[in-house]
Amino acid sequence: MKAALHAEWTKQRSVASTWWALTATLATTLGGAAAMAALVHADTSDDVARLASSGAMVSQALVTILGAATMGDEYRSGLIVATLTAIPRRGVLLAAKAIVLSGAVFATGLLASTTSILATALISPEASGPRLGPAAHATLATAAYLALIALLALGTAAASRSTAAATALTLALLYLPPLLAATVTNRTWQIRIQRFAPMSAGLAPPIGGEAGRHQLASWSGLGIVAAWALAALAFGGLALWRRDVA
Amino acid sequence: MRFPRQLRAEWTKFRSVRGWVLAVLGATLITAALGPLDLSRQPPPNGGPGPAVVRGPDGRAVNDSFYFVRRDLTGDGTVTARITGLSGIAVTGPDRVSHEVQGWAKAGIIVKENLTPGSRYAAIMLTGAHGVRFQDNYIHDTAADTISAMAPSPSTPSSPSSSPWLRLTRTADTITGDESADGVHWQHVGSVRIPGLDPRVPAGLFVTSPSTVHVAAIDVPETNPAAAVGTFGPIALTGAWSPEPWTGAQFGGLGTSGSYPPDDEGGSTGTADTALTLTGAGDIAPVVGGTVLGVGVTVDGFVGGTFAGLVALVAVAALVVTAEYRRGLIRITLAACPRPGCVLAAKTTIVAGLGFTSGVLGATVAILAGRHIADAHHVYVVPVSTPTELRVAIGTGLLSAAMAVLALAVGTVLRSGASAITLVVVGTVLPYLLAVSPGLPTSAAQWLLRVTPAAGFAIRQSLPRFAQVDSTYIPPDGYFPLAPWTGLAVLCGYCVVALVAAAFLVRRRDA
Repeated sequence: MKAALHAEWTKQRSVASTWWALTATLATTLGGAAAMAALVHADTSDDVARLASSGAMVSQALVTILGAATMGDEYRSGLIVATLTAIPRRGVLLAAKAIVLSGAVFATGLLASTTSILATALISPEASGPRLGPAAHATLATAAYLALIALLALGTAAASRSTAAATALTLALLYLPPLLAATVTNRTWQIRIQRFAPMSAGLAPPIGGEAGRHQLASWSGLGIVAAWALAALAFGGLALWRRDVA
Repeated sequence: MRFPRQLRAEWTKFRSVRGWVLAVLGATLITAALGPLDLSRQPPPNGGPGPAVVRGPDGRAVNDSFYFVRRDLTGDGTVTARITGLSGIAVTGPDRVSHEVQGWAKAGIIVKENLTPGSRYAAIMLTGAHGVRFQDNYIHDTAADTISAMAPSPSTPSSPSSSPWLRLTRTADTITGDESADGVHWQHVGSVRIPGLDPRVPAGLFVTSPSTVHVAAIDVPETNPAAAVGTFGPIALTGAWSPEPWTGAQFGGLGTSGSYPPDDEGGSTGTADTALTLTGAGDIAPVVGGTVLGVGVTVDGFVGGTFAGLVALVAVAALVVTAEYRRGLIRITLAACPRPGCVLAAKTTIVAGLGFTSGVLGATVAILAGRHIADAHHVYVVPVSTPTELRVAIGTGLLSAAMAVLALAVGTVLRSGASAITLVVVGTVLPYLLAVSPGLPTSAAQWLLRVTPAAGFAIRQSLPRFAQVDSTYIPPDGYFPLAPWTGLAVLCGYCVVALVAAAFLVRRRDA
């Protein structure tokens, strides 16, 4: 396992696109949050914390590419043959990829959301600076959310063996349900979609329309995102285990 | 002869990849099914069927409700009356009553084709804040250009300039409206010909007022009941009138945009010889979307599945070119057809054709099925004219085609399927999502729908906005800042820029 982790870490860090994707994740999280803070009036310090996570609505797309490429690009270049020769236990391989990927994304996410909170607090001077509790909550929740989305994309890519297909599927899963919820006329289904779709479950709305939505992303909502990620990983792992290499 | 051959080659490449064919079929299916499926889950409305659909002379949904004091005009004739006052009653909250008159509250003289709601009419009226107007057949609105047309301030409804004399003249099938500041010098405001007008038509005085439309600070619009009270001076009639006396009644229910405050109801007091005071609510105008629509679905609601279909289409269109780079097939393609521009043109034609076919097919099925299911479930569907319906169906096709071309061009530039798909999806779907979800200020939402490729979704809006109806007209209610075709043009602009870049790079670059 240790060797597998080492190998995966070497692969990730030696590819320029990894660093591009992580830098872009950082930039879009920060930029999205700053733009939102400039547009939306924040009243309370909790608003500041919530606005800070709105950049993740954009950066989750970059994290999706990174997650999908981690698995999909091995199939594209044929590297998967060499990888599985070196690490024949496929469960170990997927676990090593998941750990390295989520670690890198989580660290980037932490950095991005911390700077976002500082930026939104600077941009919205009316609200007293972020309180430590909500700020820490928002920072951790956003970083965890991004890491889980990367894992979701990784699992999808393991199942589909294609970076592009996995990206499209994951993006559809992220962006379509909120749109559906906006157009669906049936209230029960609207609430169901919002509760169980990964984006609305794991990311706090930038600003609540109704009183009930004036809240930070809940840990149970992140649990739902984790369930999506685990399901994708399990499905991808099963496909990887059952299938011939390429 | 190179292009047709290349077209055939590209088509063969597309149809021989099972995943792509399935994805395009899936996109069509999901476009067709998602909207109607949502309707079929709709619980039956508890108050029975929704408001009765009133269609105007051109087939569009209209409101035709007002308090009407009428007699029958049996030939040519005129009605002349002075409006001496127009005030309002609105309930703006619990125990809060406002006496402000609504901007488009109306009091005046009307001649109707018959007593069926939605029938043709012509009317001259004083409005709450928009002066004297001549309106006919729901969508036409002409302002008087004299001194009394200058918007009187709602707080002083009895100032001299807002107490005009109004006159409606019927000559055969032509109806003319005039106004006067002193009852002596008359000024023409407008006239209309209503072909085939029966000699015997109901004519008289009317007062109506739409509900309040209020956009609060956090963009949560609310609407409250409102009524208008109009006072008319002595009413003078000339011409052929039937001997029956004046009768007053609320005409045509209340429609989608009117309701009386709890303690008020329509009525009239006084006599036509001295002075007459009418209280009325409702509106005589086209139905618009937004808060004032209330329950009901629109045609663009039926094609709500387009977004899901578009993601699949975008993925296939991007892969049509990026898969060639991935597999190295592009070298063979360019060896067979050494003109890269020709290859790009053939691929563009294929994906545009696929997108258009899939979009039109999906939208047509969605609209037909949606209509059927809505009827079966007694869901109120706002009727729109056939050209609008056609525009929504064909527009969905053009939208899909444009998105597919954009994905292809971006894919050619980036040569990576995942990046191209992400860029196109995030560039189009995310701005739309942000614009329609609550929270973003309306001005920001409207700019997103003006400058991003998401402007193209404007082609689906089915209810036009009317200056003579106040509503919220914001993106979540299906109103885009750009007109349908202008919005699509913005998206096409992005396509052209991306295609030019792709054509340039595909020539310059090594395969």
